[in-house]
Amino acid sequence: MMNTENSVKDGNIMKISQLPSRTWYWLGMNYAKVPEDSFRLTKEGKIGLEIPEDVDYQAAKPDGAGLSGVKTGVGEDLTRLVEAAGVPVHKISLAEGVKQDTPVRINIGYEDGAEDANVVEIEAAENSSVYVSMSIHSAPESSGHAAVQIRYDAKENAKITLVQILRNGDDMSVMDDIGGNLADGADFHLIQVVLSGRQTFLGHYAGLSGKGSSMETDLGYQVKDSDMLDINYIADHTGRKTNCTINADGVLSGSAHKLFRGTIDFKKGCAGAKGFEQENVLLLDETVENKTIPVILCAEEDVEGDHGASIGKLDDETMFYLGSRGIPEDEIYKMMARARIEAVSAKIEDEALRDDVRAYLDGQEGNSYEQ
Amino acid sequence: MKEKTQVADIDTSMYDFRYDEKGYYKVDEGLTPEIVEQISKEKGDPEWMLDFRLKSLETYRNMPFPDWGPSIEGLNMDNIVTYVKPNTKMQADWKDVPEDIKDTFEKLGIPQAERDSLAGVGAQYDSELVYHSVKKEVAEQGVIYSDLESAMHGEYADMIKEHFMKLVPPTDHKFAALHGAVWSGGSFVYVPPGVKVEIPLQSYFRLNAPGAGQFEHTLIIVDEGADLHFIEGCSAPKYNIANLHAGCVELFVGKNAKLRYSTIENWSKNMYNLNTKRAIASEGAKVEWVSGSFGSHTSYLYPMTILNGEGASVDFTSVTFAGKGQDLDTGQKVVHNAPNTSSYVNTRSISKDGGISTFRSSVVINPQAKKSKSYVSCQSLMLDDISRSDTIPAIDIKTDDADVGHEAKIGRISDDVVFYLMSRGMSEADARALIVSGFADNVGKELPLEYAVEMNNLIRLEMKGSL
Repeated sequence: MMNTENSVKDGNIMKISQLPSRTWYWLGMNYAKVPEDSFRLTKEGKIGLEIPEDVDYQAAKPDGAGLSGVKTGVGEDLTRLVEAAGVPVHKISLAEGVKQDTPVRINIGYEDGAEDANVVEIEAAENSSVYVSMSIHSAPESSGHAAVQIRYDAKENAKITLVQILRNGDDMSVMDDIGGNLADGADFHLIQVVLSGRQTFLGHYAGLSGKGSSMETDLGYQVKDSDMLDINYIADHTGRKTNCTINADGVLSGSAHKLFRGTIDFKKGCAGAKGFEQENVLLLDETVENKTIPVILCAEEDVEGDHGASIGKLDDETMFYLGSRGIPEDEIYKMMARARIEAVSAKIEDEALRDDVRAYLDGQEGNSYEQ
Repeated sequence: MKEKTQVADIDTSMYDFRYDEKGYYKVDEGLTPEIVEQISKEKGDPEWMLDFRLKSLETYRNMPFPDWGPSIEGLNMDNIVTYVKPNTKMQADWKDVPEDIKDTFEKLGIPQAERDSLAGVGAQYDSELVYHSVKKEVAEQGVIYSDLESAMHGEYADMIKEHFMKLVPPTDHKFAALHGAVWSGGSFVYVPPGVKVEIPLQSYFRLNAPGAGQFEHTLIIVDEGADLHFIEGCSAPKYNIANLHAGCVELFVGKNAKLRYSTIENWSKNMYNLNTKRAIASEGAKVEWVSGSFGSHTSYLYPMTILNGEGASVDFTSVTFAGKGQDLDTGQKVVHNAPNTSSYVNTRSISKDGGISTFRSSVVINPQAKKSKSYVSCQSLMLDDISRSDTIPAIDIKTDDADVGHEAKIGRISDDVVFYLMSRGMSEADARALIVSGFADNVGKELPLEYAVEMNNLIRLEMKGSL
């Protein structure tokens, strides 16, 4: 279905998840190529929502209004496909000052042969806060393709927390595309855990235009067999004293392939902004491929930007310490791989979702939302 | 908010002088098969080289311009003169070099440097080497240091044919193809097995003619167990029309050999510096790049190292200083192709007065490169809010048995540090210049003293009036 950048020679090819600043093409990191014909979206994916009392909700016909024009991480090609599918837009709104601790729960499930699209918009008015937890899943043996697009708008001092667990079938391709804007003092916290799926594309564009607005992302993933994970995160700092933190922790095994694009873009005028990104990848098998391109673009003097990456096997000291406690090497790697996912899922406040991650890691197929 | 002032253009008159090209041989502007044939004939190429040039020209025509780096819209190949031959032959005795050319290199301090601290010198003026010499004791060790054209017709003809543009094939990118078509000048160095050249060799490239291109080719072969430090310097006077530098450096480093390649690049600020440098390291070999980029209007410069033998290693240390009107896209590439190889990259970028500095790199660790290690550190300093600094590092790892670390930082000069230095009696300008010099010290401390002093002078010049 998806091809690496250099292997597609003809046809109607989408170049999605584009790096804001291109580099050498031979690296195959500037974008992901997906034949458009192979990713046609025809209907809405099965969706269930659990809406707490103080949260306004409506399912609206797509009319090109509202947040439909926001930038996203996967980009315009996917927006076009989603719009062509004509699926409803699920709008979640928080009125001014409403602070909702009970999670909005969204359960999206795909059946075998899916060609599904889902669109969710989150609008948080001034001084409101909302916690949205989302399970995106399909059966282990299922095939097909699907896309979820989440658009958000956080007004002054609003706070949105979005948690996503992705657990998809052996032959499923899923695009999980997020984008939104943050006003003065607004905050967006994204927690993503990717557990399975033949091909997973994660995209997030955060427009940090409001003074003092912030975005934090915590990603945990495991990619195994010949699965592929493609990530494109963009923090666009245009507002003064804006902050972003991107943490990605993952494990690759088998012949897994992963590409992490993380861009911190300090635009002129974002004086006082700070951006930090860190990626740690544990490599478990000799046939994995890990690609990483952490980018900092800077057109402002008064900023602080940092990025770091640590990629490889477990260090000798850790191996020696755990080995000296009688733990076999295989077990050490399993334990450390699990620890990386659990470290991210520990940040999830919604206990039901946290339990799902744990159940999956224990080899069970539980989905508390579906139950 | 703190007020900013911008800096007037820097006075670089020490590099900014020129002489007429009266009596010089030039080809027409532009790039045609006829011009390529003319260059080949003028240089007395062997037949294989003429074929090579014409094929390269064809490759050049079929390749697109890069669309991922700085703009090169101001470069019109139809206006570039690709070959300018000074009216002198290459001399081995300094007193035989024509006065105007001699005066140029005297002003740049080359003969003085040769007397004081070099084992040999090559001086290129426009498209041709005008002076080449190597110290007797170094020649007696069997070290060959000559212009490439002479070497191509002599004892080392087969060696050159075997290595010329094999590491950087013309198909590599558009400007490698251009180089293959119109290259002229440059040096050939061969260091025999086990020979350690104690003091450096240097080539200096001066582009004097307006609207001209310089396409020198440097080919260095350091045989098994040998050791060499090679220094490259370059400058040009400033013109209002674009000049082009599309040189090529190919370094072959043998088993357990060591090569340090140092560059202080100070092209004039109308120069498009589209240079290609590449090294291949055999088993146990060590390559060290030390690079200071100060000049040019636009640069694409990414020295690449292929670690092809077990235990080979590379250290890459660089500083890039982008000032007014400059868009300097610099960095490095490394490919780990064998087990137990290691790479260490330490770079600094400074942007001021509207300058754009981009650090671009790639680290590729192939499946066979088990137990390889790589560490990349890049730091950028923004000196005002009208400049730009980007960091685009790529890492591609195709094995689990590798250890890769990367860190990057971007920021500005700390007000606290400036305040501290000022409280000790320094002016703010001196304090900032001192901090910038210290920031660039990763390169300075790797250069021979005379070159470190030159680099610090360049930084001081660039910092002049930066308040």
